[in-house]
Amino acid sequence: MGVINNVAREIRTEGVISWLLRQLDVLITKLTTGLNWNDLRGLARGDDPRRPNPRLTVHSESFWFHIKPSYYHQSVTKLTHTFRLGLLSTYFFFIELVTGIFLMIYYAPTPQRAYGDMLNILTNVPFGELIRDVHRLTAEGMVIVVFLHMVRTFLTGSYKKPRQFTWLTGVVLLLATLFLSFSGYLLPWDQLAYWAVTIGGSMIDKAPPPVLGKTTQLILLGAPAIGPAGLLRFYLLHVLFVPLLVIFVFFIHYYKVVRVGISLPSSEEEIGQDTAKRVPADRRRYYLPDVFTDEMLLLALITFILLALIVLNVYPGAPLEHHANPNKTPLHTKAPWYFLWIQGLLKLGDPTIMGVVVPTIVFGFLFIMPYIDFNPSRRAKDRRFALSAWMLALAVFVILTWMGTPFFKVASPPAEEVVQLMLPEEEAGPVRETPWAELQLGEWDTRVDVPGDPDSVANPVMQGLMEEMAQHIVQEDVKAYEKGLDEGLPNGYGKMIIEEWQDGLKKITMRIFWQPEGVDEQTFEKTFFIHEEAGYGE
Amino acid sequence: MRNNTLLKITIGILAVLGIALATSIVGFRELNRLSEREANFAGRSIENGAKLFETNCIGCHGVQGQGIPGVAPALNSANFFDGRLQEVGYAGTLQSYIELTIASGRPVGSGNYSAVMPTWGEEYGGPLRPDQVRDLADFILNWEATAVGGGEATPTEEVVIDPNADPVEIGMAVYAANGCAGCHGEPGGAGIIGPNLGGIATRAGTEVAGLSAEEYIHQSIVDPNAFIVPECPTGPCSPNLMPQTFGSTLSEAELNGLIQYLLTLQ
Ligand code: HEM
Repeated sequence: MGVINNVAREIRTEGVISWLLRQLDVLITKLTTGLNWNDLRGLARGDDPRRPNPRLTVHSESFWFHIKPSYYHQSVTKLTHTFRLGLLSTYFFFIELVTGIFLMIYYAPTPQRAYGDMLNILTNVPFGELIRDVHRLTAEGMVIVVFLHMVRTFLTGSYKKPRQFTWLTGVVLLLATLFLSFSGYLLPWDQLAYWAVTIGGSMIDKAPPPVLGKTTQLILLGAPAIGPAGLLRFYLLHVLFVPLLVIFVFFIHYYKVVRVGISLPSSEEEIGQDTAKRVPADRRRYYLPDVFTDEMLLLALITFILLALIVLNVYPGAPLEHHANPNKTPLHTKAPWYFLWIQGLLKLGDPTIMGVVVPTIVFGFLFIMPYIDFNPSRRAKDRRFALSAWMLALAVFVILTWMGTPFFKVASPPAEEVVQLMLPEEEAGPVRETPWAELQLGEWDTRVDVPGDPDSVANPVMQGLMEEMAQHIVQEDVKAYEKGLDEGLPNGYGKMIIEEWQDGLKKITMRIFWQPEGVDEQTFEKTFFIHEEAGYGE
Repeated sequence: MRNNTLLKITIGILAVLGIALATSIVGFRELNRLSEREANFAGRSIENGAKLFETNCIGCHGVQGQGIPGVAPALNSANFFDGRLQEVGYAGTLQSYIELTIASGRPVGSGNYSAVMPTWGEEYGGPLRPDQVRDLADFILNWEATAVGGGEATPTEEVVIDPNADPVEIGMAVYAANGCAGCHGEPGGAGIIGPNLGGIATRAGTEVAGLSAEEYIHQSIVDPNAFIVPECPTGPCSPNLMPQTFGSTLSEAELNGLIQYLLTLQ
């Protein structure tokens, strides 16, 4: 009773409106743990805080803000010092969580359903394709950002005492990020996924000694080859185990970062000293509002860039190839790009050494690097050896990545290559990119004097295609010679036969002919069907 | 205002507007995109089905799904789209009828067709995954637009035999009327799913020890599973591919003629 009387008296003396506003302000102050409406406005405007500074209570009272230090050293908040790559890694992970939960709703991890669920997301769920593209692009972006973050902390020498352990937890995060991307790769259950993960799985199998490799592979895939059990395991790892691991290790990582402070530019302190935590009052930059607004600005900008890349089709969209088919090995099995360097290594020698031992050594070295680098200086001029060694390693990494692509040392028969170039098993290729109506019925030949019906003249588009095919035949012949294959395509020519097959469906037969010295003419043939609406070329 | 705060605020606002713009562009196009994507994947499913049909089905149902009289029905005929479900008394959709038939096959030959349709669905031990069965059904359904007349369930033609005719000629007629060529091809050409019978007269005597050429051919027609030759055009031969019913459907004279005819294929 007393309470109501008090309220009634207050309202009578203040008036309803101002009483309500005051209650609102109380609520806001509670929610922000100490900032009232005017404080918030001042914060957004960049005014100086009142005394005592209520912006600091937020840091001690609120969970999210207590994680952040209340002020930084001016020198470390410059964009070019950290490029805020750690923040970006965190943000990318956050985007993955949000978009991932959305995708989870529409997805069941069984071979019978997974692919169909992807189709459903693309054809039936509003914004499904956008979310999937964001999830995929951000996943690949996260690999890049985390990698660059590592390179940055290496370049500024931030892994040295007292931040060795921060670096070590960072390497765990790097591995987890890679595995997150890789485990997600399998989930669409298409040819791309299936075969990339098959390569990966077969590498684990090679880990010495055989008992260990075989057992690890069995535990991971649940069977000698990827199947329902493997898909379920990858799904659980992808949506549950690895994300939890990342969150857990991230908090250790970030706890360390805040505890010891972000390292100052090396020129600002004596060699071997670490003054990051002792910030003179005049060099402080408060988190609220300065750093906070900078961070929000960066995140908004990055979000915009990610979306723009997708909407403007600069990012072509997350691929979805044909349904996984264990009986049909694609001509070129490709690892995801961030593992091409391992594929490159594999082409160089023994799979156990190149595929397992070398990568283990690389990551093992990353783990212990801070503990075996006894050079106390973080300045570039004192670190010539370490810096050059890393530059060299990065160069080797780039070269290995290139060697991992099919451009290097993949020796498939040249006739198959020609067909693959014109009409790949997956993706569009020049023939599918041709408007369907322009695929002129008839039998077309790459030789200039086309034998056959003189009445049927190829339309310009078909002529273009046949010229392209002729070029590929010549090029693949040369390449086969360069790669030292037994047989190129001597006297080679090609044919493309286009038939009307069904309503909206054309059958395309690709034939390659070649005649090595003193042998009968050889042929290679492959047939395709192209539907008017298939839309590969768009 | 602090230095360059204004600039930052401007960039921030622009970025947020940009995000809103990008999302609304997607939202604006979304309905069109959904139906486009649906058409894309329906088209790709038909492409996949066409490929599967070519590797698995043309032997009995014909290259263009026109069927082979006496062996297997046409799938591109108006009758298939309009009358088939009523004929067999099936209450579901044509799509489900096709998918079910592909998945479970027709392990029991029906009166009109000699060939037994193998079980294709992997859930029943066949080679095709459910999505492949669906692709095949999509491909077959796509014949509807061009399906024309004909092709009703054609009963095995009554071969009118002149008892005085040359048995070899009777045999040739029987070979044609029962759709043997649907699987074995024209003698001397290439087999389609069964081995070609060119040269059968020469090999028949040596296939199974103790059987003469004539006995071997007789056994192969009336009891095809008694001996399975190792190689068929699409891989190792499997039992039950050849109809098991010729022993009862062919008359003495027809059987004899067929054997005499095959014995001429040196
Ligand atoms: C998911 C992956 C990761 C996340 C979310 C993350 C997050 C962060 C954040 C927010 C910071 C604060 C400073 C800054 O923004 O630069 C930081 C600092 C740091 N990170 Fe990471 N990090 C990740 C991976 C890594 C990796 C792969 C390494 C190295 C192998 C690493 C090593 C470090 C080090 C040494 C610092 C201290 C930098 C300094 O004091 O100057 N982190 N990390």
